[in-house]
Amino acid sequence: MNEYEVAEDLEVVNRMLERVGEWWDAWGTYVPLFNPYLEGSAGYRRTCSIHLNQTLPPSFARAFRELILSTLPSSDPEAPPADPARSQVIFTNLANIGLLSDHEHLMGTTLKEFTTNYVKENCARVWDRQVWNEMKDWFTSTIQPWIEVAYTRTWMKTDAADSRAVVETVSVRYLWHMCEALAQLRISEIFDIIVDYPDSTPALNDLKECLFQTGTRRDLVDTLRASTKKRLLHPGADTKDILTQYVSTIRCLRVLDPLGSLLFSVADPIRQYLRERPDTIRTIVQHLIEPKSELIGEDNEDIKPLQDTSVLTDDYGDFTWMPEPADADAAFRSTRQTDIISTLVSIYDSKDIFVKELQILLGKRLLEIKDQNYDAEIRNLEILKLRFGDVALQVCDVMMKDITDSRRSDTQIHNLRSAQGAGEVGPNSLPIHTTVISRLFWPPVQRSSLVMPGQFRKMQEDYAKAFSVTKPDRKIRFMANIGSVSLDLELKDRTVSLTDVTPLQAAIIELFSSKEVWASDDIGKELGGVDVPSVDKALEYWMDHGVVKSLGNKQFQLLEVAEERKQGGPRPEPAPLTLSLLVEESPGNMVEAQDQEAEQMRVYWQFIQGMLTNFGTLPTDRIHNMLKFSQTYNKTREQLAAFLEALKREGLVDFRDGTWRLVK
Amino acid sequence: MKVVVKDWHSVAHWRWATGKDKDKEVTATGGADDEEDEDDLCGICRVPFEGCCPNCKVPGDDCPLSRSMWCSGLLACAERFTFVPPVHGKCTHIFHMHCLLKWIESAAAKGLCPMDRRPWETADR
Repeated sequence: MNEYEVAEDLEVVNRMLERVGEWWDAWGTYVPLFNPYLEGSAGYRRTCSIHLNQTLPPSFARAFRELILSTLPSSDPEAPPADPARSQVIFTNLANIGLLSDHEHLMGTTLKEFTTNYVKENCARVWDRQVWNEMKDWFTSTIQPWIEVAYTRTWMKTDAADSRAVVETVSVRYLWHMCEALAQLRISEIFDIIVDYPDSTPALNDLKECLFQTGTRRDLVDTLRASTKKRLLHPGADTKDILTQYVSTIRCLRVLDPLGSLLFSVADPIRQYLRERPDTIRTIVQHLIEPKSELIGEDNEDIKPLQDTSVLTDDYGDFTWMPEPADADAAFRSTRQTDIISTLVSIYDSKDIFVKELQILLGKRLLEIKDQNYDAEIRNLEILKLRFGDVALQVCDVMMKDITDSRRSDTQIHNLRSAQGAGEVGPNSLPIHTTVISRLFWPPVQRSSLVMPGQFRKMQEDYAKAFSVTKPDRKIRFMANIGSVSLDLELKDRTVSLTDVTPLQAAIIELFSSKEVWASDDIGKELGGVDVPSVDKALEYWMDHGVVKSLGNKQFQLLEVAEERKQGGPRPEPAPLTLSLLVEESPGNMVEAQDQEAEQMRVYWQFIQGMLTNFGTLPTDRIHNMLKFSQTYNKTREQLAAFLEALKREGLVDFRDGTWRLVK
Repeated sequence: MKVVVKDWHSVAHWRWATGKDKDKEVTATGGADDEEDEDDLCGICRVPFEGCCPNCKVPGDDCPLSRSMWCSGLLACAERFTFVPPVHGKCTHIFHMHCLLKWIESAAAKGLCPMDRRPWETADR
């Protein structure tokens, strides 16, 4: 044994065992000659083994373990495969000396460790195929023969038929340990499995089988709750991500446990947390409306009315009733099977908040549509009516009717005017198209005191008069701060043509057509009391287009002749983008979201730069399509447009004739 | 410099021409003065005129208003039932047509205006 400790060579141990065996046998034949009172060889063996165990030092246990391990098929491909004959010899020796029965526990432990380590190494994070069956196959093919050799042939000396039975009973124990090891492994990875859903479905199926065989459901719930709390429910996570994860959790746990008791325990903290977040409702509603939302996915085929989750009735006439699972929460009812949307909506106690949010969202989208193509919105509305009920969405009905009506009356008015010959103004006399809305049924709009000057005012008056003619009992009042103008500026040396100008900006530039130099205070007063910051913002817009120049001291001058834009000149800080001014529940949100995204999109600036260098000029759509080729690009076209606007303000790109180009 | 407007998509909201605010311009330019006074309610159902009556779903031409011919300035007159034709239609009582019809058909109304109990006659436009 000292030799072994020095050299750590298994062969040494081997030889030692052989020698001991030989001695034992050799002595065994002579003992009865000396002492006829000993009960044959049994007594002899006992005495010998006592002596042997006394003399063996503690390091023998380790040596024994190594020896056993060497006979098992190693997971290391470099090592030479285990030689079955050699294993047989070793085990024969061990059995003869009686070491095998003494160290049975050690052997069992070794085998268990070996199998569980194998499972862990080979199955960690392998989620794209079902590994449990593979493990079972491996066990049957490699380990079971070894067990046969180790336990039966040499030790118990049974014959082939009985050995099968023995092997089976022994195998069951080890298989169970392997199953438990796999279950624990998957449980520790469960959070990531959920993140990867649906790619990780085989792993879930594995876990389902293992859960069934071992009683580790409680562990699963605890681990999942803890990891969710740590990794998901903190202020750093985006609401959309939390929602996506929540939906994936629902789907995964439904696979694992069709009754839903696990889900109930795990989902509660998530729901509480979501309830506290202010923008959850808006995110959910946006996903409801999106045509291809991954949140809702394939469950959307049959759209049932939203189930009322607060009503729980026990069906006493149901003959197939089973009691709830033993480890379910106290408040759990298995009859409460709902689809995902109902689950999401049930986070909040009433549907009203959702309906209100839907109205606001719909109103905003309807007002922003310019090309008179409302079919997508109509379709969405019909689907939502199926879910929420007709009554709740009546207001949205009125909104849609308003839109179609105003389209009709708009055509009527224009026909009327062209029939009348359009008097003193040119053929395109009234390029104004108004959407007429019923104020009470639309979301509240920010009021502005903007009074449109000059030709705009005249257009409004003409339109209003024509409207009163077509609809005798009614008159209209304009909300001047909403809408968009598309206009041409005919300056001395160039024509600047722009679309998507806000009415405020259009009003300001109209003022410049009457007088060349204005002070921002005067502009504000002339337009009916508009506050100076808004005026300044609009003036910056015109300055970016090179139409207006700042003279300092709040005076601004119209540039009839384009001036050279100095590259290193002082530029105003990039202003937040002027979007349409419909009031939202939390107007501050818009700016912050844009700042975040601006940072992200810095990365894509490199790509865009390359593209524009190669192609010269590109419209936004083409830039968007090309950026989509890169894997990490997940922005919408509008976000790209916003980013390009920001770049324009910094003087890096320029937008002319509908395309973008680099500024040299 | 000339500004040529190619297209202007704007938004406006409609109101019933009740004739109450004749002193303002016809083309209301969206001033900050708040014309949504709370008194612009139908006397019967207490819903603003621009909304619809409780029976209808949609406002507008399907749920019009109707006004009476009587001038409420007559309350000062001793002769309570003297008929005086309205000059500008300024002080006439206005209700949702459906609300008014329901009221007139009910037995307690006896064909009287609910606000001032005068025999109701609808004004022609």
